[in-house]
Amino acid sequence: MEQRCNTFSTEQISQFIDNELEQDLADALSAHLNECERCRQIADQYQALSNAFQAHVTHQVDKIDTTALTTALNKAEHRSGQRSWKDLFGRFGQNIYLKLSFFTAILVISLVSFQANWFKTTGPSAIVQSVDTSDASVMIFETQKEKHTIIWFTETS
Amino acid sequence: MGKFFKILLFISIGCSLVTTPLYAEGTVNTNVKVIYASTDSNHVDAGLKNDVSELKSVFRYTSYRLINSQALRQQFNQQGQVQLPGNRSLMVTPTSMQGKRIRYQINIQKGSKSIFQTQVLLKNNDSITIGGPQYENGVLLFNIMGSAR
Repeated sequence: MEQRCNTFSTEQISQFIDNELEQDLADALSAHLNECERCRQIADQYQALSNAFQAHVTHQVDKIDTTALTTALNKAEHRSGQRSWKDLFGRFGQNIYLKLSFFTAILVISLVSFQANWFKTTGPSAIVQSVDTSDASVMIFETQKEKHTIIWFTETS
Repeated sequence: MGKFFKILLFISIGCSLVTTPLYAEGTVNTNVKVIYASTDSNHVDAGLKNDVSELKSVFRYTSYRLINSQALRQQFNQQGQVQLPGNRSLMVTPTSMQGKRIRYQINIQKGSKSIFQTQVLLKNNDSITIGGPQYENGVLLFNIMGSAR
């Protein structure tokens, strides 16, 4: 039966291979490996295992095609930079009737508002251009709220 | 410009043209209300409620009764006549459009004598009130509304 070395545990040897051991302990274990055949064998086994694992991971990562992912990310970045009408339409999905309804509603509201405000004549309800009377006195005034024009005449005879 | 936007632009222009008021060659609808205003009671005829709310802000009368209401469909320069109490008559003639206002020639006669003439520019779809002639215990008010198409 092979004699076992108790100077360093297998866990410490594994940490040494993974460069996770404290420096003074790593130096001591490194010196010990030059002298102890048994511990060096364990370290070699751990090293071989670590190399095999690293090679496998590298191989698997190399198999992943990142081009499509990069393209998608670039597109998303570009879109967030400039919001367009297309983005707005996107909120309504691909339904053309929904889009048309949306624009028709906006159009109707705009037209009604335009008609109500822009074609509304300001000023009094009537502008009196001339008054001609022989037997009456005349007064012209307007109401405060609606600016409704009133002509008041009083017959004198 | 996308096809969708072209269609939308076309619809917009079309709607704007359809809804823009056009007065040319049109007729004028003139509505004349003859109102008897007094302090006899607190009665206001149902059909006068909208008109009277404004009149009440300037007149002390408490009773407003509709004596006569006449709707005239006129061409420009076509005279319309409304009979008034007390052997009076009201002649109202739309003569032209000036911007969005209708130019009216209004004449009140007592018998065959003209007692009052005026020329006004009435806002389209709005009205003017002419008042003053004594009648019974109150006065007469003439509310003239014009609407051109």
